[in-house]
Amino acid sequence: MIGGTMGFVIVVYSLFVFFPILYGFVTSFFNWNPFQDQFEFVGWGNYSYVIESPEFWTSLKNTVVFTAGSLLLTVGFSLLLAAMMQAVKKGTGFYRGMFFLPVISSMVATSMLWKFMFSYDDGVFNSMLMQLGLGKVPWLQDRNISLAVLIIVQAWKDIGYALVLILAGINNIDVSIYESADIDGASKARQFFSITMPLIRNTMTILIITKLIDYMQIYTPVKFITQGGPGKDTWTMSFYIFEQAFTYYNFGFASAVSFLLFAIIFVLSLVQMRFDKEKN
Amino acid sequence: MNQNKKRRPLRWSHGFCHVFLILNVCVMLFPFLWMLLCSLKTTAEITRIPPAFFPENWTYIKNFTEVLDKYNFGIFFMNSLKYAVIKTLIVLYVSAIIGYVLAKFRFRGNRFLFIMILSTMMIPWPATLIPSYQMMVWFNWLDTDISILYTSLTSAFGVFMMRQFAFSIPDSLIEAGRLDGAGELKIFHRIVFPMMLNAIGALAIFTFLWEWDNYLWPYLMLSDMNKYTLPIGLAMTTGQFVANYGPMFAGITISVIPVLIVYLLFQKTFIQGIALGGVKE
Repeated sequence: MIGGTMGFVIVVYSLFVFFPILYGFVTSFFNWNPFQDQFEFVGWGNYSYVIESPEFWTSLKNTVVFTAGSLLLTVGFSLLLAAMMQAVKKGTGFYRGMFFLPVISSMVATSMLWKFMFSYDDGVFNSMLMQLGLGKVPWLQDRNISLAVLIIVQAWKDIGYALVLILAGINNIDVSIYESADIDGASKARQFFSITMPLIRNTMTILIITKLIDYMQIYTPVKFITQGGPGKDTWTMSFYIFEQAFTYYNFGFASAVSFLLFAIIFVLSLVQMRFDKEKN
Repeated sequence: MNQNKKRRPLRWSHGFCHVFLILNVCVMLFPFLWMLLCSLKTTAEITRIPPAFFPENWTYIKNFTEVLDKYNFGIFFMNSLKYAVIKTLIVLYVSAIIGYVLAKFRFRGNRFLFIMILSTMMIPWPATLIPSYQMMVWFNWLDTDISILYTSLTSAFGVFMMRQFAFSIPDSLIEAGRLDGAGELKIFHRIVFPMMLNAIGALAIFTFLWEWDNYLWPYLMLSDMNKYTLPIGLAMTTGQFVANYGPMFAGITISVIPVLIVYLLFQKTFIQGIALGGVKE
Protein backbone atom coordinates (compact mmCIF):
# COMPACT_ATOMS: atom_id res chain seq x y z
CA MET A 1 0.00 0.00 0.00
CA ILE A 2 2.84 2.39 0.90
CA GLY A 3 4.87 1.43 -2.14
CA GLY A 4 1.91 1.63 -4.45
CA THR A 5 0.83 5.04 -3.21
CA MET A 6 4.36 6.41 -3.33
CA GLY A 7 4.91 5.14 -6.83
CA PHE A 8 1.58 6.49 -8.01
CA VAL A 9 2.15 9.93 -6.49
CA ILE A 10 5.67 10.25 -7.85
CA VAL A 11 4.79 9.10 -11.37
CA VAL A 12 1.57 11.07 -11.69
CA TYR A 13 2.85 14.32 -10.21
CA SER A 14 6.13 14.15 -12.11
CA LEU A 15 4.40 13.52 -15.40
CA PHE A 16 1.44 15.87 -15.12
CA VAL A 17 2.70 18.67 -12.87
CA PHE A 18 6.48 18.86 -12.53
CA PHE A 19 7.40 17.99 -16.09
CA PRO A 20 5.03 20.63 -17.56
CA ILE A 21 6.28 23.26 -15.12
CA LEU A 22 9.88 22.53 -16.01
CA TYR A 23 9.16 22.36 -19.70
CA GLY A 24 7.27 25.66 -19.45
CA PHE A 25 10.24 27.26 -17.72
CA VAL A 26 12.67 26.01 -20.36
CA THR A 27 10.47 27.18 -23.23
CA SER A 28 10.20 30.65 -21.72
CA PHE A 29 13.76 31.07 -23.05
CA PHE A 30 12.73 30.09 -26.56
CA ASN A 31 11.00 31.88 -29.35
CA TRP A 32 8.30 29.26 -29.77
CA ASN A 33 5.43 29.52 -32.21
CA PRO A 34 3.98 26.06 -32.94
CA PHE A 35 2.06 27.28 -35.96
CA GLN A 36 5.13 28.64 -37.69
CA ASP A 37 7.31 25.71 -36.61
CA GLN A 38 9.49 28.19 -34.78
CA PHE A 39 11.57 27.03 -31.83
CA GLU A 40 14.83 28.91 -31.25
CA PHE A 41 16.77 29.78 -28.15
CA VAL A 42 16.63 33.48 -27.29
CA GLY A 43 18.04 33.53 -23.75
CA TRP A 44 16.41 36.21 -21.65
CA GLY A 45 14.94 37.70 -24.83
CA ASN A 46 11.32 36.95 -23.97
CA TYR A 47 11.70 38.33 -20.48
CA SER A 48 13.28 41.60 -21.61
CA TYR A 49 10.61 41.88 -24.29
CA VAL A 50 7.93 41.36 -21.63
CA ILE A 51 9.43 44.04 -19.40
CA GLU A 52 9.43 46.49 -22.28
CA SER A 53 5.87 45.71 -23.30
CA PRO A 54 3.35 48.34 -22.13
CA GLU A 55 0.62 45.68 -22.22
CA PHE A 56 2.45 43.74 -19.51
CA TRP A 57 2.52 46.74 -17.21
CA THR A 58 -1.14 47.53 -17.87
CA SER A 59 -2.02 43.90 -17.11
CA LEU A 60 0.08 43.86 -13.97
CA LYS A 61 -1.42 47.12 -12.76
CA ASN A 62 -4.96 45.93 -13.46
CA THR A 63 -4.28 42.63 -11.70
CA VAL A 64 -2.95 44.42 -8.63
CA VAL A 65 -5.82 46.93 -8.55
CA PHE A 66 -8.35 44.13 -9.07
CA THR A 67 -6.78 42.00 -6.33
CA ALA A 68 -6.59 44.84 -3.82
CA GLY A 69 -10.09 46.08 -4.62
CA SER A 70 -11.73 42.65 -4.51
CA LEU A 71 -9.95 41.76 -1.28
CA LEU A 72 -10.96 45.00 0.41
CA LEU A 73 -14.56 44.79 -0.74
CA THR A 74 -15.01 41.06 -0.07
CA VAL A 75 -13.27 40.94 3.30
CA GLY A 76 -14.52 44.32 4.53
CA PHE A 77 -18.08 43.73 3.57
CA SER A 78 -18.27 40.17 4.87
CA LEU A 79 -16.79 41.33 8.18
CA LEU A 80 -19.48 44.01 8.41
CA LEU A 81 -22.21 41.49 7.59
CA ALA A 82 -20.77 38.97 10.07
CA ALA A 83 -20.67 41.62 12.81
CA MET A 84 -24.31 42.49 12.16
CA MET A 85 -25.38 38.86 12.04
CA GLN A 86 -23.58 38.22 15.29
CA ALA A 87 -25.28 41.24 16.86
CA VAL A 88 -28.81 40.23 15.89
CA LYS A 89 -28.24 36.46 16.29
CA LYS A 90 -31.65 35.61 14.83
CA GLY A 91 -31.79 34.61 11.18
CA THR A 92 -28.08 33.83 10.83
CA GLY A 93 -28.80 30.59 9.01
CA PHE A 94 -31.16 32.29 6.58
CA TYR A 95 -28.84 35.18 5.77
CA ARG A 96 -25.82 32.96 5.42
CA GLY A 97 -27.76 30.63 3.14
CA MET A 98 -28.85 33.48 0.89
CA PHE A 99 -25.45 35.18 0.68
CA PHE A 100 -24.03 31.81 -0.28
CA LEU A 101 -26.07 31.42 -3.48
CA PRO A 102 -23.56 33.27 -5.73
CA VAL A 103 -20.72 31.09 -4.40
CA ILE A 104 -22.19 27.94 -5.90
CA SER A 105 -23.33 29.55 -9.15
CA SER A 106 -21.31 29.09 -12.30
CA MET A 107 -19.00 32.07 -12.77
CA VAL A 108 -19.14 31.72 -16.54
CA ALA A 109 -22.94 31.88 -16.58
CA THR A 110 -23.31 34.65 -14.01
CA SER A 111 -20.58 36.72 -15.69
CA MET A 112 -22.62 36.65 -18.89
CA LEU A 113 -25.66 37.63 -16.87
CA TRP A 114 -23.83 40.57 -15.28
CA LYS A 115 -22.49 41.66 -18.63
CA PHE A 116 -26.01 41.93 -19.95
CA MET A 117 -27.23 43.74 -16.84
CA PHE A 118 -24.44 46.30 -17.25
CA SER A 119 -25.10 46.78 -20.95
CA TYR A 120 -25.26 50.44 -21.99
CA ASP A 121 -28.48 50.58 -23.99
CA ASP A 122 -30.68 47.75 -22.78
CA GLY A 123 -29.09 46.84 -19.42
CA VAL A 124 -31.31 46.82 -16.37
CA PHE A 125 -29.13 49.20 -14.36
CA ASN A 126 -29.06 51.95 -16.97
CA SER A 127 -32.79 51.52 -17.55
CA MET A 128 -33.40 52.02 -13.84
CA LEU A 129 -31.19 55.10 -13.83
CA MET A 130 -33.05 56.48 -16.84
CA GLN A 131 -36.40 55.94 -15.14
CA LEU A 132 -35.11 57.77 -12.09
CA GLY A 133 -34.31 60.65 -14.42
CA LEU A 134 -30.55 60.12 -14.15
CA GLY A 135 -28.12 59.65 -17.00
CA LYS A 136 -26.70 56.37 -18.26
CA VAL A 137 -23.39 55.16 -16.86
CA PRO A 138 -20.80 53.77 -19.32
CA TRP A 139 -20.28 50.67 -17.14
CA LEU A 140 -18.21 48.74 -19.65
CA GLN A 141 -17.09 51.61 -21.85
CA ASP A 142 -14.93 53.42 -19.30
CA ARG A 143 -11.67 51.82 -18.18
CA ASN A 144 -11.98 52.71 -14.49
CA ILE A 145 -15.66 51.87 -14.21
CA SER A 146 -15.25 48.55 -15.99
CA LEU A 147 -12.44 47.55 -13.62
CA ALA A 148 -14.76 48.50 -10.75
CA VAL A 149 -17.51 46.36 -12.32
CA LEU A 150 -15.14 43.37 -12.31
CA ILE A 151 -14.35 43.97 -8.64
CA ILE A 152 -18.02 44.26 -7.73
CA VAL A 153 -18.91 41.03 -9.52
CA GLN A 154 -16.01 39.16 -7.89
CA ALA A 155 -17.05 40.45 -4.45
CA TRP A 156 -20.66 39.45 -5.15
CA LYS A 157 -19.41 35.95 -5.91
CA ASP A 158 -17.08 35.61 -2.91
CA ILE A 159 -18.76 37.42 0.00
CA GLY A 160 -20.81 34.34 0.91
CA TYR A 161 -17.68 32.20 1.02
CA ALA A 162 -15.82 34.68 3.21
CA LEU A 163 -18.88 34.98 5.42
CA VAL A 164 -19.09 31.21 6.00
CA LEU A 165 -15.42 31.06 7.00
CA ILE A 166 -15.69 34.10 9.28
CA LEU A 167 -18.85 32.80 10.97
CA ALA A 168 -17.21 29.40 11.45
CA GLY A 169 -14.27 31.18 13.07
CA ILE A 170 -16.60 33.15 15.32
CA ASN A 171 -18.39 29.93 16.29
CA ASN A 172 -15.15 28.54 17.67
CA ILE A 173 -14.83 31.39 20.15
CA ASP A 174 -15.72 30.56 23.73
CA VAL A 175 -19.09 32.18 24.58
CA SER A 176 -18.01 32.95 28.15
CA ILE A 177 -15.61 35.61 26.84
CA TYR A 178 -18.57 37.55 25.48
CA GLU A 179 -20.56 37.00 28.64
CA SER A 180 -17.90 38.55 30.81
CA ALA A 181 -17.56 41.41 28.32
CA ASP A 182 -21.30 41.96 28.61
CA ILE A 183 -20.98 42.13 32.38
CA ASP A 184 -18.20 44.68 32.00
CA GLY A 185 -20.58 46.74 29.88
CA ALA A 186 -18.65 46.58 26.62
CA SER A 187 -20.79 47.45 23.60
CA LYS A 188 -21.36 44.94 20.80
CA ALA A 189 -19.23 46.97 18.41
CA ARG A 190 -16.44 47.18 20.98
CA GLN A 191 -16.68 43.42 21.56
CA PHE A 192 -16.40 42.81 17.85
CA PHE A 193 -13.18 44.78 17.50
CA SER A 194 -11.59 43.76 20.80
CA ILE A 195 -12.63 40.11 21.07
CA THR A 196 -13.87 38.73 17.77
CA MET A 197 -11.31 40.29 15.43
CA PRO A 198 -8.17 39.15 17.29
CA LEU A 199 -9.58 35.65 17.83
CA ILE A 200 -10.44 35.04 14.17
CA ARG A 201 -7.05 36.25 12.95
CA ASN A 202 -6.09 32.75 11.82
CA THR A 203 -9.20 32.38 9.74
CA MET A 204 -8.67 35.83 8.26
CA THR A 205 -5.08 35.08 7.28
CA ILE A 206 -6.09 31.91 5.46
CA LEU A 207 -8.99 33.66 3.76
CA ILE A 208 -6.91 36.61 2.62
CA ILE A 209 -3.96 34.59 1.35
CA THR A 210 -6.04 32.02 -0.57
CA LYS A 211 -8.17 34.74 -2.14
CA LEU A 212 -5.11 36.84 -2.91
CA ILE A 213 -3.59 33.96 -4.87
CA ASP A 214 -6.91 33.36 -6.63
CA TYR A 215 -7.36 36.99 -7.58
CA MET A 216 -3.84 37.30 -8.95
CA GLN A 217 -4.87 34.69 -11.55
CA ILE A 218 -8.23 36.23 -12.38
CA TYR A 219 -9.56 35.30 -15.80
CA THR A 220 -13.23 34.27 -16.09
CA PRO A 221 -15.00 37.59 -15.36
CA VAL A 222 -12.50 39.46 -17.53
CA LYS A 223 -13.13 37.06 -20.37
CA PHE A 224 -16.92 37.11 -20.11
CA ILE A 225 -17.75 40.62 -18.89
CA THR A 226 -15.28 43.08 -20.40
CA GLN A 227 -13.38 40.85 -22.88
CA GLY A 228 -10.43 42.86 -21.62
CA GLY A 229 -12.04 46.03 -22.94
CA PRO A 230 -12.53 48.84 -23.54
CA GLY A 231 -9.55 48.28 -25.85
CA LYS A 232 -6.99 46.47 -23.70
CA ASP A 233 -7.76 48.52 -20.61
CA THR A 234 -8.92 45.68 -18.35
CA TRP A 235 -6.43 43.02 -19.42
CA THR A 236 -5.15 41.06 -16.45
CA MET A 237 -2.04 38.88 -16.28
CA SER A 238 -3.90 35.65 -16.99
CA PHE A 239 -5.87 37.27 -19.79
CA TYR A 240 -2.63 38.58 -21.28
CA ILE A 241 -1.00 35.15 -21.06
CA PHE A 242 -3.98 33.46 -22.65
CA GLU A 243 -4.18 35.99 -25.49
CA GLN A 244 -0.45 35.74 -26.19
CA ALA A 245 -0.60 31.95 -26.14
CA PHE A 246 -3.81 31.07 -27.92
CA THR A 247 -4.59 34.11 -30.05
CA TYR A 248 -1.07 34.99 -31.23
CA TYR A 249 0.57 31.60 -30.54
CA ASN A 250 3.60 33.22 -28.89
CA PHE A 251 4.02 30.19 -26.62
CA GLY A 252 7.52 31.12 -25.40
CA PHE A 253 6.61 34.71 -24.71
CA ALA A 254 3.43 33.69 -22.87
CA SER A 255 5.46 31.22 -20.79
CA ALA A 256 7.78 34.02 -19.78
CA VAL A 257 4.83 36.12 -18.58
CA SER A 258 3.38 33.15 -16.72
CA PHE A 259 6.65 32.59 -14.88
CA LEU A 260 6.75 36.22 -13.83
CA LEU A 261 3.24 35.69 -12.43
CA PHE A 262 4.46 32.48 -10.77
CA ALA A 263 7.33 34.41 -9.17
CA ILE A 264 4.94 36.99 -7.75
CA ILE A 265 2.62 34.32 -6.35
CA PHE A 266 5.59 32.37 -5.00
CA VAL A 267 6.78 35.41 -3.05
CA LEU A 268 3.25 35.94 -1.70
CA SER A 269 3.11 32.28 -0.58
CA LEU A 270 6.45 32.66 1.21
CA VAL A 271 5.03 35.68 3.02
CA GLN A 272 2.09 33.48 4.07
CA MET A 273 4.38 30.77 5.44
CA ARG A 274 6.27 33.46 7.34
CA PHE A 275 2.96 34.57 8.84
CA ASP A 276 1.97 31.02 9.83
CA LYS A 277 5.34 30.37 11.44
CA GLU A 278 5.25 33.51 13.51
CA LYS A 279 1.97 32.48 15.01
CA ASN A 280 2.76 28.86 15.83
CA MET B 1 -16.61 69.06 30.38
CA ASN B 2 -16.48 66.19 28.06
CA GLN B 3 -15.85 63.82 30.88
CA ASN B 4 -19.14 64.72 32.51
CA LYS B 5 -21.05 63.79 29.43
CA LYS B 6 -21.16 60.04 29.78
CA ARG B 7 -21.11 58.58 26.31
CA ARG B 8 -23.86 56.06 25.71
CA PRO B 9 -22.39 52.76 24.61
CA LEU B 10 -22.78 52.39 20.89
CA ARG B 11 -25.60 49.90 20.43
CA TRP B 12 -26.55 48.56 17.07
CA SER B 13 -30.26 48.53 16.92
CA HIS B 14 -31.46 45.09 15.88
CA GLY B 15 -34.05 46.60 13.60
CA PHE B 16 -31.47 48.54 11.66
CA CYS B 17 -29.27 45.47 11.30
CA HIS B 18 -32.11 43.35 9.97
CA VAL B 19 -33.13 46.01 7.47
CA PHE B 20 -29.54 46.36 6.30
CA LEU B 21 -29.06 42.60 6.00
CA ILE B 22 -32.34 42.06 4.16
CA LEU B 23 -31.56 44.90 1.75
CA ASN B 24 -28.24 43.25 1.03
CA VAL B 25 -29.85 39.87 0.50
CA CYS B 26 -32.15 41.53 -2.04
CA VAL B 27 -29.21 43.09 -3.86
CA MET B 28 -27.33 39.77 -3.90
CA LEU B 29 -30.34 37.88 -5.21
CA PHE B 30 -31.38 40.46 -7.79
CA PRO B 31 -29.28 38.95 -10.60
CA PHE B 32 -30.99 35.58 -10.05
CA LEU B 33 -34.41 37.21 -10.17
CA TRP B 34 -33.48 39.08 -13.33
CA MET B 35 -32.14 35.88 -14.89
CA LEU B 36 -35.39 34.01 -14.18
CA LEU B 37 -37.61 36.86 -15.37
CA CYS B 38 -35.65 37.35 -18.58
CA SER B 39 -35.63 33.64 -19.33
CA LEU B 40 -39.43 33.88 -19.60
CA LYS B 41 -39.43 36.95 -21.86
CA THR B 42 -39.28 37.19 -25.61
CA THR B 43 -36.17 38.82 -27.03
CA ALA B 44 -38.30 41.80 -28.06
CA GLU B 45 -39.42 42.28 -24.45
CA ILE B 46 -35.84 42.06 -23.19
CA THR B 47 -34.41 44.64 -25.57
CA ARG B 48 -37.34 47.03 -25.40
CA ILE B 49 -36.41 50.47 -24.02
CA PRO B 50 -37.31 50.77 -21.21
CA PRO B 51 -37.27 46.98 -20.78
CA ALA B 52 -40.34 45.18 -19.49
CA PHE B 53 -39.65 44.23 -15.87
CA PHE B 54 -42.03 41.29 -15.74
CA PRO B 55 -42.65 38.90 -18.61
CA GLU B 56 -45.99 39.44 -20.36
CA ASN B 57 -46.64 35.74 -20.50
CA TRP B 58 -45.46 33.79 -17.46
CA THR B 59 -45.73 30.46 -19.24
CA TYR B 60 -43.51 31.41 -22.18
CA ILE B 61 -41.06 28.50 -22.27
CA LYS B 62 -39.98 28.73 -25.89
CA ASN B 63 -36.55 30.05 -24.81
CA PHE B 64 -35.91 26.81 -22.97
CA THR B 65 -37.13 24.47 -25.69
CA GLU B 66 -35.14 26.44 -28.24
CA VAL B 67 -31.91 26.44 -26.26
CA LEU B 68 -32.22 22.74 -25.48
CA ASP B 69 -33.05 21.64 -29.02
CA LYS B 70 -31.58 24.17 -31.41
CA TYR B 71 -28.50 25.12 -29.39
CA ASN B 72 -27.86 21.58 -28.04
CA PHE B 73 -27.87 22.61 -24.40
CA GLY B 74 -29.41 19.26 -23.49
CA ILE B 75 -26.23 17.56 -24.72
CA PHE B 76 -23.99 20.17 -23.07
CA PHE B 77 -25.81 19.70 -19.78
CA MET B 78 -25.34 15.92 -19.85
CA ASN B 79 -21.65 16.33 -20.79
CA SER B 80 -21.07 18.77 -17.92
CA LEU B 81 -22.78 16.38 -15.54
CA LYS B 82 -20.80 13.40 -16.85
CA TYR B 83 -17.39 15.08 -16.56
CA ALA B 84 -18.14 16.67 -13.19
CA VAL B 85 -19.40 13.40 -11.65
CA ILE B 86 -16.57 11.22 -12.98
CA LYS B 87 -13.90 13.76 -12.03
CA THR B 88 -15.38 14.14 -8.56
CA LEU B 89 -15.32 10.35 -8.03
CA ILE B 90 -11.69 10.13 -9.16
CA VAL B 91 -10.62 13.04 -6.95
CA LEU B 92 -12.42 11.56 -3.94
CA TYR B 93 -10.95 8.08 -4.25
CA VAL B 94 -7.41 9.13 -5.13
CA SER B 95 -7.28 11.87 -2.47
CA ALA B 96 -8.76 9.66 0.23
CA ILE B 97 -6.25 6.88 -0.29
CA ILE B 98 -3.20 9.18 -0.57
CA GLY B 99 -4.39 11.29 2.36
CA TYR B 100 -4.90 8.17 4.49
CA VAL B 101 -1.48 6.74 3.68
CA LEU B 102 0.24 10.06 4.39
CA ALA B 103 -1.60 10.47 7.69
CA LYS B 104 -1.44 6.96 9.09
CA PHE B 105 1.69 5.27 7.77
CA ARG B 106 5.24 6.00 8.84
CA PHE B 107 7.75 5.54 6.10
CA ARG B 108 10.79 7.24 4.64
CA GLY B 109 9.73 9.98 2.26
CA ASN B 110 6.33 10.56 3.81
CA ARG B 111 7.12 14.18 4.63
CA PHE B 112 8.78 14.64 1.23
CA LEU B 113 5.71 13.37 -0.62
CA PHE B 114 3.43 15.64 1.37
CA ILE B 115 5.52 18.76 0.78
CA MET B 116 5.82 17.83 -2.88
CA ILE B 117 2.04 17.59 -3.27
CA LEU B 118 1.39 20.68 -1.18
CA SER B 119 3.87 22.78 -3.14
CA THR B 120 1.87 22.25 -6.33
CA MET B 121 -0.95 24.27 -4.79
CA MET B 122 0.87 27.53 -5.41
CA ILE B 123 1.51 26.90 -9.07
CA PRO B 124 -0.75 29.30 -10.96
CA TRP B 125 -2.69 27.65 -13.77
CA PRO B 126 -1.28 29.88 -16.51
CA ALA B 127 2.20 28.49 -15.82
CA THR B 128 1.23 24.91 -16.72
CA LEU B 129 -1.35 25.75 -19.37
CA ILE B 130 0.93 25.89 -22.42
CA PRO B 131 3.22 22.92 -21.63
CA SER B 132 0.21 20.80 -20.64
CA TYR B 133 -1.45 21.70 -23.91
CA GLN B 134 1.71 20.73 -25.78
CA MET B 135 1.80 17.45 -23.87
CA MET B 136 -1.74 16.65 -24.94
CA VAL B 137 -0.65 17.25 -28.54
CA TRP B 138 2.27 14.80 -28.08
CA PHE B 139 0.08 12.19 -26.42
CA ASN B 140 -2.54 12.66 -29.11
CA TRP B 141 -5.11 13.25 -26.38
CA LEU B 142 -6.71 16.36 -27.87
CA ASP B 143 -10.48 16.07 -28.06
CA THR B 144 -10.60 12.93 -25.90
CA ASP B 145 -12.34 12.36 -22.58
CA ILE B 146 -9.05 11.42 -20.97
CA SER B 147 -7.61 14.91 -21.57
CA ILE B 148 -10.41 16.29 -19.39
CA LEU B 149 -10.31 13.56 -16.78
CA TYR B 150 -6.58 13.12 -16.12
CA THR B 151 -6.33 16.41 -14.20
CA SER B 152 -8.31 14.78 -11.36
CA LEU B 153 -5.32 12.59 -10.54
CA THR B 154 -3.36 15.51 -9.10
CA SER B 155 -5.78 17.24 -6.75
CA ALA B 156 -3.39 18.64 -4.16
CA PHE B 157 -6.22 20.33 -2.31
CA GLY B 158 -8.06 17.00 -2.02
CA VAL B 159 -5.01 15.21 -0.61
CA PHE B 160 -4.41 18.03 1.84
CA MET B 161 -7.99 17.97 3.10
CA MET B 162 -8.21 14.16 3.36
CA ARG B 163 -4.88 13.93 5.17
CA GLN B 164 -5.99 16.47 7.77
CA PHE B 165 -9.15 14.51 8.30
CA ALA B 166 -7.54 11.06 8.34
CA PHE B 167 -5.46 12.01 11.41
CA SER B 168 -8.63 11.90 13.50
CA ILE B 169 -9.31 8.23 12.71
CA PRO B 170 -8.38 6.14 15.79
CA ASP B 171 -5.38 3.87 15.23
CA SER B 172 -7.03 1.17 17.33
CA LEU B 173 -9.67 0.60 14.66
CA ILE B 174 -7.03 0.12 11.99
CA GLU B 175 -5.07 -2.18 14.31
CA ALA B 176 -8.19 -4.21 15.03
CA GLY B 177 -8.67 -4.68 11.31
CA ARG B 178 -5.10 -5.89 10.97
CA LEU B 179 -5.52 -8.36 13.85
CA ASP B 180 -8.56 -9.77 12.08
CA GLY B 181 -6.24 -10.46 9.18
CA ALA B 182 -7.77 -7.95 6.78
CA GLY B 183 -5.52 -6.67 4.00
CA GLU B 184 -4.53 -3.02 3.92
CA LEU B 185 -6.78 -2.23 0.97
CA LYS B 186 -9.69 -3.95 2.66
CA ILE B 187 -9.07 -1.96 5.84
CA PHE B 188 -9.10 1.22 3.76
CA HIS B 189 -12.34 0.33 1.99
CA ARG B 190 -14.23 -1.15 4.93
CA ILE B 191 -13.03 0.88 7.91
CA VAL B 192 -11.29 4.09 6.87
CA PHE B 193 -13.37 5.19 3.90
CA PRO B 194 -16.71 5.09 5.76
CA MET B 195 -15.20 7.09 8.61
CA MET B 196 -14.08 9.82 6.23
CA LEU B 197 -17.52 10.35 4.73
CA ASN B 198 -17.93 13.83 6.26
CA ALA B 199 -14.76 15.16 4.69
CA ILE B 200 -15.48 13.24 1.50
CA GLY B 201 -18.85 14.96 1.23
CA ALA B 202 -17.20 18.34 1.63
CA LEU B 203 -14.55 17.57 -0.95
CA ALA B 204 -17.22 16.24 -3.31
CA ILE B 205 -19.04 19.57 -3.18
CA PHE B 206 -15.89 21.59 -3.81
CA THR B 207 -14.78 19.41 -6.68
CA PHE B 208 -18.16 19.21 -8.33
CA LEU B 209 -18.62 22.99 -8.27
CA TRP B 210 -15.15 23.59 -9.71
CA GLU B 211 -15.67 21.10 -12.49
CA TRP B 212 -19.18 22.30 -13.28
CA ASP B 213 -17.75 25.81 -13.82
CA ASN B 214 -14.53 24.68 -15.50
CA TYR B 215 -14.21 26.50 -18.79
CA LEU B 216 -10.66 27.05 -19.95
CA TRP B 217 -9.13 23.60 -20.12
CA PRO B 218 -12.13 21.82 -21.66
CA TYR B 219 -12.40 24.72 -24.10
CA LEU B 220 -8.79 24.19 -25.20
CA MET B 221 -9.12 20.41 -25.37
CA LEU B 222 -12.48 19.78 -26.98
CA SER B 223 -13.31 20.55 -30.57
CA ASP B 224 -16.13 18.06 -31.14
CA MET B 225 -19.34 19.93 -30.34
CA ASN B 226 -20.94 16.74 -29.04
CA LYS B 227 -18.42 16.77 -26.18
CA TYR B 228 -18.91 20.44 -25.22
CA THR B 229 -19.82 21.33 -21.65
CA LEU B 230 -22.23 24.07 -20.54
CA PRO B 231 -19.59 26.82 -20.03
CA ILE B 232 -18.13 26.17 -23.49
CA GLY B 233 -21.61 26.03 -24.97
CA LEU B 234 -22.53 29.32 -23.34
CA ALA B 235 -19.32 31.00 -24.48
CA MET B 236 -19.62 29.66 -28.01
CA THR B 237 -23.22 30.63 -28.46
CA THR B 238 -22.78 34.20 -27.19
CA GLY B 239 -22.07 35.20 -30.75
CA GLN B 240 -25.16 33.41 -32.01
CA PHE B 241 -27.24 35.02 -29.25
CA VAL B 242 -26.46 38.58 -30.33
CA ALA B 243 -29.92 39.12 -31.72
CA ASN B 244 -31.49 36.42 -29.59
CA TYR B 245 -31.23 37.19 -25.89
CA GLY B 246 -34.17 35.07 -24.74
CA PRO B 247 -32.44 31.72 -25.31
CA MET B 248 -29.23 33.12 -23.82
CA PHE B 249 -31.00 33.75 -20.52
CA ALA B 250 -32.52 30.28 -20.69
CA GLY B 251 -29.01 28.86 -21.22
CA ILE B 252 -27.67 30.76 -18.22
CA THR B 253 -30.62 29.57 -16.12
CA ILE B 254 -29.96 25.95 -17.10
CA SER B 255 -26.32 26.35 -15.98
CA VAL B 256 -27.23 27.88 -12.63
CA ILE B 257 -30.56 26.56 -11.36
CA PRO B 258 -29.93 22.77 -11.02
CA VAL B 259 -26.93 23.42 -8.77
CA LEU B 260 -28.95 25.92 -6.74
CA ILE B 261 -31.69 23.34 -6.20
CA VAL B 262 -29.21 20.72 -5.01
CA TYR B 263 -27.72 23.36 -2.70
CA LEU B 264 -31.08 24.31 -1.22
CA LEU B 265 -31.77 20.62 -0.51
CA PHE B 266 -28.44 19.98 1.19
CA GLN B 267 -27.70 23.46 2.47
CA LYS B 268 -26.29 22.35 5.79
CA THR B 269 -23.83 19.90 4.24
CA PHE B 270 -22.67 22.59 1.81
CA ILE B 271 -22.01 25.19 4.48
CA GLN B 272 -20.30 22.73 6.81
CA GLY B 273 -18.26 21.42 3.92
CA ILE B 274 -17.00 24.83 2.90
CA ALA B 275 -16.18 25.71 6.50
CA LEU B 276 -14.36 22.38 6.90
CA GLY B 277 -12.34 22.83 3.73
CA GLY B 278 -11.42 26.43 4.43
CA VAL B 279 -10.27 26.06 7.98
CA LYS B 280 -6.92 24.39 8.23
CA GLU B 281 -5.37 23.61 11.52
